[in-house]
Amino acid sequence: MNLTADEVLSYLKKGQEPGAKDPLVITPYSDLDKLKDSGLAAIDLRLGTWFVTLRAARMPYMKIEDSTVQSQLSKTRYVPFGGAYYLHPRTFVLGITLQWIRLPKNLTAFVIGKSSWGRRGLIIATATGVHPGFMGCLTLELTNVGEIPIEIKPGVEICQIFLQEVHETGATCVGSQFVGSRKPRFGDVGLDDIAKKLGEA
Amino acid sequence: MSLLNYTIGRIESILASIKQLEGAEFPYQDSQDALHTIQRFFERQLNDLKALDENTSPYVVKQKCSFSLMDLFRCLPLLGFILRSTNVRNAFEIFGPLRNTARAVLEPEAEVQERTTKLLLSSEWGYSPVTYHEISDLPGFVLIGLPAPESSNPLLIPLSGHELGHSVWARRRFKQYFRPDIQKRILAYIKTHWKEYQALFPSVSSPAELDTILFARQTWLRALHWALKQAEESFCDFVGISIYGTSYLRAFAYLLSPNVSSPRSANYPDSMARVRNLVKAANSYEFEPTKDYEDMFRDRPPQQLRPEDKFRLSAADYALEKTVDGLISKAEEFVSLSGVLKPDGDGIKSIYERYKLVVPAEKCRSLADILNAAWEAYEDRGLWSSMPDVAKDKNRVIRDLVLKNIEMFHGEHILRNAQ
Repeated sequence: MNLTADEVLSYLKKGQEPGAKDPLVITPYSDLDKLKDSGLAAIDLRLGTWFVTLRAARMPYMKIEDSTVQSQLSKTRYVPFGGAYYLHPRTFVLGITLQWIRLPKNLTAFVIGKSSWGRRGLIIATATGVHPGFMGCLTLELTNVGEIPIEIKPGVEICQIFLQEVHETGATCVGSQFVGSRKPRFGDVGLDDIAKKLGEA
Repeated sequence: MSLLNYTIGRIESILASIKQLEGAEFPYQDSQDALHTIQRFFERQLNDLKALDENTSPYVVKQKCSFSLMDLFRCLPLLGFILRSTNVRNAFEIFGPLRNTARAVLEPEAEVQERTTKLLLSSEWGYSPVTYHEISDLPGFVLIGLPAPESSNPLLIPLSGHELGHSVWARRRFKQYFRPDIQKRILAYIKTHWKEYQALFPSVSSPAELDTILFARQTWLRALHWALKQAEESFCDFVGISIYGTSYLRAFAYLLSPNVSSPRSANYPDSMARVRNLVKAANSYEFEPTKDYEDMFRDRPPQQLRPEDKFRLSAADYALEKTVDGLISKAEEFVSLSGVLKPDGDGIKSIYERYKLVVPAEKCRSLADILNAAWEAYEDRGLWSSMPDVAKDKNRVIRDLVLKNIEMFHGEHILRNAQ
């Protein structure tokens, strides 16, 4: 079940106390008063300053097991506060949350776009699930499915995060490829043993 | 063949290159402003050259073409520097806080909103952060470039304090301020080593001639020049320490210890003397140098100098040694005047406590606190030992965490000013 606004507030306040061991942190610029007043179960997340696009002209197609996507086939852009990124129709870009998030071992989260953006054609096609122990900024997959270009600016509220309690697993954090990052990352898809064997059939 | 046509061709080529560079993705206006300043400079030059005709004296044509060539030699590396300021390997998050620091240090008398210093934050394909000082082609700009492989490493940002020091030294005319004292010490050295001096310069017959007869002055002017350069470099180190505290020492050691094995430059203090001076300044400013700091360094081999220059260098080294205390005081006095907040133990500790949890800290007092906490985290061997997935990628996570923290710090600054 999703945490209520009061429960989220309680977690966040405990996380700010000195000596907190495994806190929930969503920082910066989380408006706790707004959350309390709204009574909503979600916290709005803002758009960060880094974007990554694919250099389509450099590849015939994207191979699943190709780990060079991040380094060779992508282009990184930085948009400072006050700047803007223009997302044209039917284009796709990776963005990042401005907030740095740290989930304790007993919380999981899912992220969805804000409907007000969706109605303008901007889809935040994130994988939504955030595992317990995650720490860092969340990569967002942004697509403009509308008819006209959309201006997006670092700092705007772009998506929202819902939190849920889970039984502690003892895990310390999820795989390091996404942990502690401030820039969008593709991550490796890779083929596991089963997929490889099936593929060789 | 025409010398004038060749020169016009060269200027047109560089203007075409600048036009191309305009298409680069500049995250900050300051880099574009620098580019346009250089563009206007060459446009004026092109107009001047095109105004020459067959009636112009060949001597004037040659002279103008020669000056133009010199401008190209000087400005082309600058254009490279500007282009590299757009590269996403740079730690762009540092730009705002660093420019605020530069403005505070260089324009302490101006109201915050009226400060105009611009910053070029870039990288160099050379392993030295010390590249360009404030230059006449780009008045009002500060240029800071870290070695390219380290340009995203916030731990080295404290070294920018050294670059700011050069701008302070030039703008505040500290060379002129320190020159009389340093000259006095050079002469004092010569007088106490008179026999040695006279053996090298027998044409000078008495100490009284040293400062009164032209050819006698020529014998020690190079020593004065070296001592002043050493004083400037030392002053810049002290400005860096005064702003960034222990993190400056750590960044200096990260980049330069134990030392390159090429002979020392006379424009810099002897390596170990420089390191001792860093420690002396840190103690004077009540920052704690890291344990066994001096042991991380070693001396560079001496230069192969003629006996006369060896004597001059000894005189310069002596003059610096006697001037160091004054340089330390002046650097601190100046940084205090700027209102830049110095590192604070409690502030550093509270940020470091957040880093232990792998989260950036809110409401930091100063950039210096963040950078010192970053070094505490970097030096902590046991950091994140209970989180092996994080610990195995420690260096990258620290960089990202600290840069996110600096971005937050800057965002809070913007929000405060907007209220």
